[in-house]
Amino acid sequence: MMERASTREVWWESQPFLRPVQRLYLGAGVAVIVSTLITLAGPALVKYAIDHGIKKHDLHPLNVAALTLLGLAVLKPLVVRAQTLLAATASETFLDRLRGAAFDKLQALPLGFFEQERTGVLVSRLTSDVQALDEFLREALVEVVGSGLQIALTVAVLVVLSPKLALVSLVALPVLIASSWAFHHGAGRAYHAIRDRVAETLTVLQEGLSGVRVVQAFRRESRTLEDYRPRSRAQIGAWRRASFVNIRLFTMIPLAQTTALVAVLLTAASMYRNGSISEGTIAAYVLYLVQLFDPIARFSEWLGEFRQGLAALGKVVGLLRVKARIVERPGAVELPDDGRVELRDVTFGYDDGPPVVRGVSLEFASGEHAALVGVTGAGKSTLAKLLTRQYDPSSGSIALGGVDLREGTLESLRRRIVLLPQEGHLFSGTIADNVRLARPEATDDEVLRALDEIGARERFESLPSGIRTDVQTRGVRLSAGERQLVGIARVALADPTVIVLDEATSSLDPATEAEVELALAAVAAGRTVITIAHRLSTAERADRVVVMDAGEVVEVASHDELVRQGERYARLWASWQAGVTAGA
Amino acid sequence: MGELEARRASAWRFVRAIVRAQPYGVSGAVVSGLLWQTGAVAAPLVVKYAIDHGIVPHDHGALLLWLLVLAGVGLLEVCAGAFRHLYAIRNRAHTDARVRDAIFAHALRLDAAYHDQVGPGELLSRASSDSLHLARMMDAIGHTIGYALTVVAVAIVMLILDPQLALIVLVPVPFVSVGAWLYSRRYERGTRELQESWAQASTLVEETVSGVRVVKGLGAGGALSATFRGRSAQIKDRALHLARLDAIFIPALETLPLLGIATVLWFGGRSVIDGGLSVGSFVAFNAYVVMLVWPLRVLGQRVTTLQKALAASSRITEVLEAEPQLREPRHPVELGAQGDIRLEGVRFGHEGDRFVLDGLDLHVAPGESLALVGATGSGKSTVAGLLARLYDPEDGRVLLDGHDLRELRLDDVRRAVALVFEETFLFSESVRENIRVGRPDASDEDVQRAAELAGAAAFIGGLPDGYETVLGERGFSLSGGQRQRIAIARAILADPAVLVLDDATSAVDATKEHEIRAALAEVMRGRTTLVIAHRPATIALADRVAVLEGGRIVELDTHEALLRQSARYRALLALDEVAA
Repeated sequence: MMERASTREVWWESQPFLRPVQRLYLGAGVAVIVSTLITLAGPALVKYAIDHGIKKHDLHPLNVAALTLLGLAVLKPLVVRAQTLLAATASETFLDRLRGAAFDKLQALPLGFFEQERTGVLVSRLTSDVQALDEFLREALVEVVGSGLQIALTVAVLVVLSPKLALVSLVALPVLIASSWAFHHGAGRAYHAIRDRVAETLTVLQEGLSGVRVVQAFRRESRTLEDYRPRSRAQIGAWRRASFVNIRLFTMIPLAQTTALVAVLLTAASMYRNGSISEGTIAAYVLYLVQLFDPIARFSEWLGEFRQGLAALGKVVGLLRVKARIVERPGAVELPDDGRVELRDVTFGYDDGPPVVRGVSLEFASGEHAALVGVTGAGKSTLAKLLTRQYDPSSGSIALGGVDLREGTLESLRRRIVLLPQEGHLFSGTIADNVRLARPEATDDEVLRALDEIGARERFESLPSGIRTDVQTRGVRLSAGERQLVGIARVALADPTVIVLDEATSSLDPATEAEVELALAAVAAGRTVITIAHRLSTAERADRVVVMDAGEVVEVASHDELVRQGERYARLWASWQAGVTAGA
Repeated sequence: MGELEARRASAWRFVRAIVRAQPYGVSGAVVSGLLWQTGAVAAPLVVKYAIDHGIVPHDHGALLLWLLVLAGVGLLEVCAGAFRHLYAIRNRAHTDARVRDAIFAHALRLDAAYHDQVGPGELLSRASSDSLHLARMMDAIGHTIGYALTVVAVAIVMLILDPQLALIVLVPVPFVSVGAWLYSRRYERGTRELQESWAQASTLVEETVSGVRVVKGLGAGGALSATFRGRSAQIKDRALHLARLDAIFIPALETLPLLGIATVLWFGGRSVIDGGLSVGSFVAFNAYVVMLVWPLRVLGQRVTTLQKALAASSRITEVLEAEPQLREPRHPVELGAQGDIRLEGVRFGHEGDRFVLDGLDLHVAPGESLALVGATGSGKSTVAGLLARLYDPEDGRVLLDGHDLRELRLDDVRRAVALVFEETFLFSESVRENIRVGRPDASDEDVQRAAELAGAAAFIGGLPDGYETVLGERGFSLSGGQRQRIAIARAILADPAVLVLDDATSAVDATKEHEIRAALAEVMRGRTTLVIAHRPATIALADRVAVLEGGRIVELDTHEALLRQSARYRALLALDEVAA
């Protein structure tokens, strides 16, 4: 499961993404400083023109000031432009890398992870969470550097004008500190809650939209909406709570300002009485004090954005921090193109649970076709996951061509051993795109050759747009048999050494069934194939049958021999035959 | 009107509707925004009075009075600021929800034909990502109007102070505004393209996670990562394209006030020296020009916010304006639901230049069960979809109890005709709720009876929490056969007049199918049933069998008779092989 990452963890995990864009951010920061200085120069030039030019009826300083301003007006857009481009490039590069890393993470996580997380949540991590970061990343630097500089300069001016009044102005500090504390106290939770609610709404939407045909067939539209509405309302509620946390900070800025002004004016009044301050100084001081709170207000609004961005980043980082258990060892070797598969005393259980595969030792010869048979829960599917290294055994070892799978590179592992779930899942795109799922660089010719190999070329080429036919969403236009053929063609194109076939549980009409079986036979030829057999007719055709029960291998022999032995398999076979022939 | 204009027009309509939908939120944001702005402008004035009338004349009473006023203004700012923020967030959250709700509700109304074209990933991204742009627009609305009024007020004051100088400063404003507006239109297209890339990326994520078994099994992770990186890079490129628009727009906006100040200095300064303008007025004039800097900058950015919202709206209205092709009849016929179904000359679906169903005639009498048999792609599932009115035929009629389905309420049709699909979709709810889908008010006993009939009771008993076990997303933890049995239990509980089983037992182990065969026989008794199946044992349960080929029924008889007489039938069931 994904856990909430602490601020420190978020910072550490972001480093690899931040480092490459540091220079860009640095450049943007310099640009912000220059443009802030230009902005501040405006009033200073006006003051200069008034004091030295207008009041003395001297045109020269006036012209100098106006022309300098004109020069700055020409310079400023260049600086702002640089700042905009640098900040945007930096943040978009950061986000691009973050998205890429998060998607890679999805590929590295074990299947078990996906059985616990809902699709909508994962989609929200890679989309809405990342999007929520965008504005923050771009504006953050501008606001922090710009406002910070403005605050620092103004404070300096205040201290120079009147150290005593500057000291008095500090009365505003407790207000600011208290409200920041109150804000930070609630902001983390409030903004994490928003991200969680967003993920939940997305999940309901995703499920409702994927299952829309069933929803409509059972007239569940209003029920589905009823289930959805509270989540949607909860998202509004989360925002509402965050807004109440925000106002602890935002609205206290004017309060701090008023407090400071009142204290300063009272002190100034008594100072003025004993002549230690001039009227002009008071006016100037007060003007700057008012100006000081402008950047403070903006800075505080930025803090809201910051917390929101931090929460979103925390969610993505939470995904990145999930440990991938299948990792490549240093010095991993290329797994050999050798179809011998050996299991030695393999035991495995999920997450410290009881073992579901126990002490399995098996050897499959290169090119052998074996069938795994057993009732639901016997451990067939788990064994298939171990064979394809979705998980590593708790003890014992699995080797391909004499090399332990854990010693091999992941790339060669995925290339040599594939798991083929027979019911085909289609991605949007053309039939050809779907066939080249594992090898996107494959040409149309290669796709056609793969289809030819499994005897399905004609079927797909005869479609109106041939293999360029758009399968449309979820393959609604392709029949179940055609989807299976696409899945088999994928494997033919991937050209693995070992195929672990999770046989389709559903049956097709006999003609298509025959076509699919021919395709499977074609792709199986010359390769080691281990089939999780749901139909015993498949086991009958296999070289060897492995019967599993309660995680253990109980019988291994050819079909004929096992039937002769008259044990467990023979009983399964008898009941299967009764089922098949009952209606005929 | 071209398509582009039409799209823009409906986007505008939607934006207006969104604004109008929250009269209180919008007016609250505007009023509190104005009050806040008033406070912010008043505070320096009050301070000036406190100095001029309190401190300088040593009038302690007046000073305290003005400080009291200052405190009042501060309080106003605090309250108005709080409401301004609360309303902004409120408008934002409600807009986001409104768009999302509208898309979801409408998507649920749109028929299968639409969802065949537009996948869940597309709709999801419109509901979650495009809505964000409208939410941002609404978030800013209070501030924006406040700033706009500030600009107007400042312009008026400047005109009063010195009309000539004011005109010099203000004349460029209309031209700049028009220019800014014209330029900002580029954001619309850029945003649209960016949103499209986002939709593609999220579709890929959605499909990858849904098909994670295939992806991992095939080791396609690396390839998909490469594809995703391509889409991610496209997002980056398109976001940077928008940034390049910003890089012209924002600098231009920020430079204008500087030019304004330079102009005032040049002309105003000369005017003061000539004696046409007082120093005080000149200083005040300058202060007002400075006051325009921030509002103008923000207003400029809001123009782009609006354009982005328009782009998002046009994507949203694309969904909302899609009409369901299945229309509810204006004067629906009441349905008694005897379960008499008849297809007359039905044509549907294109496969190249021919129809998938090409003049199909079929009649199933009330209480009769009929097995529909045919090769893959012969259109069996299409017949099932037509009976439940997931689609309307392109030609011909589908009749239920003698009424064209198009004359009946959709709800009545769906209640009378239960469709069980090959692929069972399980909701992320308990087993009990999943069975109850077809009849939400069913008692626990009824649910159990249905489960027993469907042969599901045994494995449900073995689940960790029995009937309360929550099924994972898409029922991940159940086998195909178990899911199908849940689906059959659903149909049994729904107790429809017509039951359509579309390959609904295909995933039940052949060795176990006999367990539910009795259940199916029980369900089919006295109920009009259309069974699409491949296994002879299942087909044999039906009273009659129809063979579908070339878009029509080519044979119609009992299973036994067809077995005896029809070589085509035997070939279709591949029974010659088994017999041999």
